[in-house]
Amino acid sequence: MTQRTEIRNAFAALLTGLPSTGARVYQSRTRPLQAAELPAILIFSGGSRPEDKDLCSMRPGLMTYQLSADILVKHSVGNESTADQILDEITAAVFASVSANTLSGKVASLRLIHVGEVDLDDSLEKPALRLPVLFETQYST
Amino acid sequence: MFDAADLSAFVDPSMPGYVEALINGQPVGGLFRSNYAEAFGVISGSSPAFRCLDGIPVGFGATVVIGPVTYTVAEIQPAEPGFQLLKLETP
Repeated sequence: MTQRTEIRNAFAALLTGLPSTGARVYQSRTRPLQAAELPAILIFSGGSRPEDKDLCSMRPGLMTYQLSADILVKHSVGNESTADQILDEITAAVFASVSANTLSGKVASLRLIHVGEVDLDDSLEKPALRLPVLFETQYST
Repeated sequence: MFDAADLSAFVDPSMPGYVEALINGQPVGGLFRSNYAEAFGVISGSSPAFRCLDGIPVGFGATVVIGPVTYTVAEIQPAEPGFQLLKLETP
């Protein structure tokens, strides 16, 4: 198992069991979620970049690694404020879990670097909201 | 020229998808479809819509009962001349 995989698994484990999303935390999921599976968190790998500038070495040394957590909730006509509230609560729970966490020493620390805009998709009979949250961390190779 | 009598042929019980819905408690014939759809490409479900004659009094937020399901009108979209398309959501 690569370090990236270990870190991503640990990140998923960290976000598993939050009050609203529970075990509905998925990595690189391709099978669509059902409305009954919401709210949920989808985890994706972002980019990596070496921080050491030693061009002579094939070992990058310190790597910066980005992880994104897409928070998905559903809402319905006349229930918009509740959906926003649920989204805010999950986001706060994610922040609290991740804050300064080192994933049991696997990484230097997790930092929040970006919270995207809330996106609404009303294609379905139960419209959905998505909030992308991007974290960054560093690990030694 | 089409008139109301011609259009009514499209909302006939012999048409596929025909249902009699209750819109705000009033029976209205129309064509119901609930096709597969996805949100963000990661959430699957259906996209129910009810096509009925223009002039049926219905507004945003109206209640539409089709079979055992009670829907809410989320959008009223223009459709073919003489028709309106009600995009439906479930609470």
